[in-house]
Amino acid sequence: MKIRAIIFFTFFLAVAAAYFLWFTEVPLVSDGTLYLVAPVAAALIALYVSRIYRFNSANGRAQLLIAAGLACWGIAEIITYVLNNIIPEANTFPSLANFFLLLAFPIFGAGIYQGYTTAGVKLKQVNRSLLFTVLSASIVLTILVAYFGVNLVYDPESDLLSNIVTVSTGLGDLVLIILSMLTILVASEYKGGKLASFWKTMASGFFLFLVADIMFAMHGNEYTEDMYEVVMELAWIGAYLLLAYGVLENYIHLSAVQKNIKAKLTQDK
Amino acid sequence: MNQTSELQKSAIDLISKYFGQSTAEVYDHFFDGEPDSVITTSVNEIMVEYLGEKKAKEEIDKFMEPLAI
Repeated sequence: MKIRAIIFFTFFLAVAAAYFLWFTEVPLVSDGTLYLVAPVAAALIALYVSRIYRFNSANGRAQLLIAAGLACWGIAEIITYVLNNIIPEANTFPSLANFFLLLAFPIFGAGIYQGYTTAGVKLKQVNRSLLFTVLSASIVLTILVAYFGVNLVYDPESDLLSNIVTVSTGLGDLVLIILSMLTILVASEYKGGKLASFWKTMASGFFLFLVADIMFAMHGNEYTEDMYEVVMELAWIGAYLLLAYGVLENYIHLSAVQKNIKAKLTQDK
Repeated sequence: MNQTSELQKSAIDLISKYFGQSTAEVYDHFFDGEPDSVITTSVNEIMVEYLGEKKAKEEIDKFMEPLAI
């Protein structure tokens, strides 16, 4: 196992331990400071790696858009933290955090669609059992999100803007289901290559994010500070770490390729 | 334009597609004056590692095969 994977996994285990031990007792855990580390790290990694990508490269365009989507989610989490803990008087719904959260969906969509077209996925050639699993998982997740994330969140007593934002978040999750399934198909195209690992990590990250979002939608907005919330927040943290790890690993591989050829060039010419 | 530079151009287009313009430019310098065999071996090496054997072959066939000797 790579050292970076061990670091990410150890960090996740440490956060999980802190959550299980001190969820309601220690301020740094209960006020969301510890939670914030993962999305901030994800956003910073996404912004850092974006310097290697350019829009004129098909694969680079996909990677750049995914990094931008991840940065949007990270920014949304930072704003949420600030509104909850530093300026609670400005904490209204919907907030700027909701805007960044929603903005990420079309950006991820564009990036994953770019990755899908670059891979040239041919559905007829995709392994039947993989296609069946992907379709079955999509149907189950779609039913859950459509019911809990879209249908139940509509509140006729709330104002129009609030309803648009809550329902749009649920619809965003529906889009995320399709995107997650596309990432699995893209990964299958690059079987045995480093790029397959990137797409598989993206699929796992998006899937965990969906699990947490569905748990949140089923739970409602009332936090009870119980084990349910611990698991839900750990799923989000795990999702951020997976997405950040995938983006970082791909960047490190591309950098290594560039470094190697530069070294050969200096040596040979 | 001779055969070698055609092959080099196709190789650079393929590298640019997956590794970006800046990496492709470094490869372009590296390929200058190199025989076809070095170009095809180098491209094959990085593509197989990144895309996996099947996809790498598909992409190399699409971009470079018509020009390879």
